[in-house]
Amino acid sequence: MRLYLKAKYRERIKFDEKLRVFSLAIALGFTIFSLRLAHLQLISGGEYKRLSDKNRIRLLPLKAPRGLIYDCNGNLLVDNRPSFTVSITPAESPNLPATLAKLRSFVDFDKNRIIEQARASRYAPFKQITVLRDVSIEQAAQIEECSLELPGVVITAEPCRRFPLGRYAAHALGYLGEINGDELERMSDQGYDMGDYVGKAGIELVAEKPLRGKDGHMQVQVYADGYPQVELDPTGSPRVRIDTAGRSLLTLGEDPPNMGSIVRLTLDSTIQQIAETEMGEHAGAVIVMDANTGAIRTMVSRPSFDPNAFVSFGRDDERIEILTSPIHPLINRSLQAFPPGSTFKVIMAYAGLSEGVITPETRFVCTGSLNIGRSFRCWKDHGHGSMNVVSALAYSCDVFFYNLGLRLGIDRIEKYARMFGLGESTRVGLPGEMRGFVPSRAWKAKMFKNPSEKKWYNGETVNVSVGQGYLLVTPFQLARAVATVVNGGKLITPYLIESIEGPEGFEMVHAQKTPRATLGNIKAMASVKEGMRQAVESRQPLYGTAWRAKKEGVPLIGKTGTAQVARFKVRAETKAQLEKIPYELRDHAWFAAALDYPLEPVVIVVFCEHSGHASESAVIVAGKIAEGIMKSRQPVQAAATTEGTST
Amino acid sequence: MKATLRQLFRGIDYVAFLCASMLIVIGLLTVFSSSYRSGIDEFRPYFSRQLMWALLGTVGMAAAIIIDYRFMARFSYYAYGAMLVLLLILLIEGKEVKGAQRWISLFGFQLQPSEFVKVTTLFALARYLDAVRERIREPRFLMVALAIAGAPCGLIVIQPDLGTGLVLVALIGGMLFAANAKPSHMATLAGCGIAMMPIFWKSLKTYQKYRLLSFINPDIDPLGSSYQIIQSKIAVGAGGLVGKGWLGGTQSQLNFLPEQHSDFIFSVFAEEWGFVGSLIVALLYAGLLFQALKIAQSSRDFLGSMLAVGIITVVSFQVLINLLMTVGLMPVTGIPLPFMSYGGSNLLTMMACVGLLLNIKTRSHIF
Repeated sequence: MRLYLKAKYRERIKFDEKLRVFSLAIALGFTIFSLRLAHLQLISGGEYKRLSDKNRIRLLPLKAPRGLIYDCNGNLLVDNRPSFTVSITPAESPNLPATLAKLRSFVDFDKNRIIEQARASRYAPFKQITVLRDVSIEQAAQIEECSLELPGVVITAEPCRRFPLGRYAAHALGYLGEINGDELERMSDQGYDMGDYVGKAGIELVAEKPLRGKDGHMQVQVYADGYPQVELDPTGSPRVRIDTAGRSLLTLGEDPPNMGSIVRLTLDSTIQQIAETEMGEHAGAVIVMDANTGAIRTMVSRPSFDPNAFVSFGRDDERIEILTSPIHPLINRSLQAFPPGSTFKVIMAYAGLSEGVITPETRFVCTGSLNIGRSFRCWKDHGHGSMNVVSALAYSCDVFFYNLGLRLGIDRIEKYARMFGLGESTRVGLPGEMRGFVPSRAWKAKMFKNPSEKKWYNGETVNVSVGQGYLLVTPFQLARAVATVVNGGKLITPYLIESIEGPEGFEMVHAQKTPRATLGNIKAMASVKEGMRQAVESRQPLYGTAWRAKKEGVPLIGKTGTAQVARFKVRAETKAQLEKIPYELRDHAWFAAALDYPLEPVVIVVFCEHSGHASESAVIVAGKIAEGIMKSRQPVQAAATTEGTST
Repeated sequence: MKATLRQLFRGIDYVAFLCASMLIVIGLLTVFSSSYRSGIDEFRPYFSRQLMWALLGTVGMAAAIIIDYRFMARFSYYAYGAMLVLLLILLIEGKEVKGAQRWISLFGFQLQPSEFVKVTTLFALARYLDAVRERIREPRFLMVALAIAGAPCGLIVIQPDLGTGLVLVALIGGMLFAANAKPSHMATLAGCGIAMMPIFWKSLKTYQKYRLLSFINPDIDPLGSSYQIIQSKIAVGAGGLVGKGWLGGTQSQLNFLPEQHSDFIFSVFAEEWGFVGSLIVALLYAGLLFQALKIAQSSRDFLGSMLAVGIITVVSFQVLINLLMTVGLMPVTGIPLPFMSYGGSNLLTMMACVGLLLNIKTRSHIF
């Protein structure tokens, strides 16, 4: 019918054949495609649906903020602050060097490092690169304000532990650190994970469980080219609302984190700060404790450290310095054992009176030394003259206690030392507490190999009588022993945690309020107390050893102690002489004191490591602390009085 | 033989026209879905631009129907030559302006000359084959035909636009086959092509090599080309039987799908419309192509047949390569899906091709 077909009939048939090949090829292509579609969408559709959900749904862990720690008056001791991190997403910053240059006008950082990292992660351009951790809130606000000029830059916040007191009370509060392998193995069943921070010392360690809280999580729908941003809500809890590109994310499920419990301590931050200030440059420890209850009002240990350094980025140098320092700032001196020196005479006096080997009227004459085959000197070379138990305590006469020790014998000394709680844990509940040491015949027979050394000698009894020799006590043990003098003989248990307030309610922690033992001889205790009072008050015939602690209207009593570190024949009487002695060989100074309020007696134990004679250091510190306690309590007492009169 | 408009309309192939129109509408809906982000009220400008191009394409299609293709063919060598010059200029200019050789700006429109090259080369080839007819079985005429397609193909591959280069290779293959070239010649040419593969491989850019390698081994580049294929397969598969609904595809809405408005537009569609929708789209393409085969067969002259065969080759090659890529059966080569993918030059070219088909069909009725 058509001209072209008639003329080229043969060609026409050929062309139709070719077109048939075309249609076959096209049909084959679409058949393969349809079969593949059926395979992907119908047979494997469920699996791909799951994969697409896996793509879009992220389960984000949200760390619970740690619980807050308060002192006994409701003052904040430890809380959390937001820590701001500046990051950049290279893919969202078209001109990375320019953005970084602009960013550098707000915060200082190594620009080349970021560019290097961006190059290294060019196959994952939506990966965030951390520019700087822990910038100040002012810097974070400035960067946030200029966000339009800083494409790809985001600021995230996470809770960071804060110790507002800094170096003060650091040993009581403790510090945090990243969980280590052992801890992770031990606590992995409690939901701990790599990179978590856990308490490493002090209350942070002891109360780790209640402080930690319950981590939560959120299930959000994410975009492929953005990361969910964790922000902190006004209560400090982390939440996710938007992603790095500023898009709000759809929340699919939520299990909000529960903040850790509030831990209320017995510490009194006012007294703590007074004690910290008054300790000045001294190394050592201070304990202030309610003598009736054992509530610890102050716990100072020197040298100290700033626990903030362990949780803040950029303070690595400081942290390493703390960890490697030869003076061991992390060690809590108040739990370490030292020779008690003359403070042990308090226990000796009670033991003598209680056992009846002396009466309050019994006198020994001090000529400056006592000879029992070998001469034992009194610290006062010319002697104290005739001393009874009260004056011997007041002037710390060694010869009186040498005689008393010989009358008691080591077995009874050991018995009374243990009655006062020496040589055993005070059960204060802090890690690293040493038990101290009370020597005995049995111990010596067991410890020494040489038969001549297995025997207990009178000379050793004499040494122990003045707190030297093998005897070792911790400041806490001494504080507890002193407490018995002013609280009517009750051996109490010191404690630091007053209560824990969790989501389930209020929980008292210190169940053990009943004294573990009672020293019943009230008359003997009264004499001991009188001796300790005279040590502060006495001006005639001699000045009491703690005369420097005397403050008008402060009912302070106490017993000094100068513990010899080395058996030095030359005593340092002046500061110049003291400075000639190498630091680690200088004497330790003790002052085991108490504020003798009839209703609420308070124990103050000051221990000054290697500071020479007690009356020059520990006594002065304790006197000022006592004064501070008086002042801080006066307004309260005054208020109580006015309230009493008005009603 | 001047045709009146009435005659033209009477002869229009409505099946082909409807198939193409529906594909364009579906494409617009899908581009809208890939532009719109309901969660954040973000609206990317792809849809409005594509809509504008579709309207422009309608004008182009109408022109391609009204002007007799034999009249157009008179200018095919001039158009072909002009396009070669343009490609050369682009290549030289492009060297100076780093890497932007694929685009030119005209009256504020971003144009991709390599798309129009398909049409000019197609016309030049058809006219040449119409002129030589049976002599194509002689090697020297075959070489000329080869050179006509080879010149633009080489210039485009250098750009580099591997996808369009492959389309031109398919075009010459399909047209020579249909023009009854000697099977032994065709086989020799194919053999030469395969022999030149190593040289070709060396000339490829690293990302292109990765695309091809990752097709063989998806683990080779899990964040690059393999990522695209994996995400596309997830999107298609997650569509299931009836899909997640329009604007409901999470793979596309949450940006997991790369190049979703252009090369992977079908994945967006398949996720939202499922197996049912996908099959309808496949049927529309198949319907258009089989209708085009009928047009090729019924053309009253060899020029029309050759033009139709060229269009069938270009469209079917692009459709199948793209569709099979989205389901993971072909490597990522950067070939857009005709009628659906975002891209003005591509849409314009494809609509003009449909117009040309209708032109050939309608003129087979007019004497």
